[in-house]
Amino acid sequence: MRNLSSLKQEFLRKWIKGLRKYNSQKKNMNLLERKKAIKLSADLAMASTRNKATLWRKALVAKTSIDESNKNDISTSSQPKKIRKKLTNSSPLCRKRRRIRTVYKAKERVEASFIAKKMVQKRTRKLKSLLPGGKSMDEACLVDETLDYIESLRAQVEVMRCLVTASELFINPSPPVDGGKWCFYTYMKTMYRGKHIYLSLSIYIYLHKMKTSTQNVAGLNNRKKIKSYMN
Amino acid sequence: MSSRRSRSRQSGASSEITDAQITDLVAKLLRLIPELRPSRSGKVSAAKVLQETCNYIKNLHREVDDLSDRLSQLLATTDSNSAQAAIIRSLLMK
Repeated sequence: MRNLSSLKQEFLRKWIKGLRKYNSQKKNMNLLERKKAIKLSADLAMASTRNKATLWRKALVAKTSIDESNKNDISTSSQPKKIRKKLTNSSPLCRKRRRIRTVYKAKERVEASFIAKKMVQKRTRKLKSLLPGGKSMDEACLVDETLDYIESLRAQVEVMRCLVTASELFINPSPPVDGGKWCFYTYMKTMYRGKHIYLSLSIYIYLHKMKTSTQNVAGLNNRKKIKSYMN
Repeated sequence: MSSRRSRSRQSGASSEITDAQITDLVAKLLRLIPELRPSRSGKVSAAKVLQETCNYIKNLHREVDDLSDRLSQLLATTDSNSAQAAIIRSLLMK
């Protein structure tokens, strides 16, 4: 697998940019809106990493733009139900198909390979439903898309986990207060077992420097340094 | 065994996942998903591989959702009295 930590750094940079844009656009969001903004910016950041033109990235970007326009619209929940209702009609054709299916079922129930094949088809459909844009993928590219998607999704989860736990620990340090910094560092270290420590360390150092430098001037310099790293 | 990987090939249409693709998927995901290791028979069924992959993706989605929840709560509850809160805000909001 390619360089995971560079993927994570790229994701972190883009995600924070997106977060800032969202948060500066609309002040005083409620909890739900803020959560949606976080998820949308994370998905958008994930889809724009690596500059590859995979199907799931395109589908995710399309989905994000739709979700963004629907963010404040409560009435959109009625639409999906309407579509579902159309598909489940029991026309005479459907009933005939069901009858034929029961006949086949009786014949080939003992056919083990048939059952296995059906299982695989069922699971493939499930996988397609989980991948963004999966419904329009053919099986040839499904596996490659899945692998790429899983790699990016893992990076997204790990970066988010790192940021959220670091922020939580930073704001509410576990007692004793002085040992809080040390506990925080060892927590990060054990969580990442020395791998990808660069990312977590950079977050930690940023937060730590901000905390210890109480003078405005020193804080400003550090903040500028870290900002230049982020951008 | 109903769960053996070898299946009768149909008319060569690409409407099904091939065994080679399943092997490829297993090889790449072996590290991430321990359930994919072949058990006593030495073979992993295609259905099981797809099932475990789906479960893994679902778990990741759930974790993203949970983390977004926590982050939004963190940003909402940090009031202006603590210096740490101000730092977090300056990091994540401009």
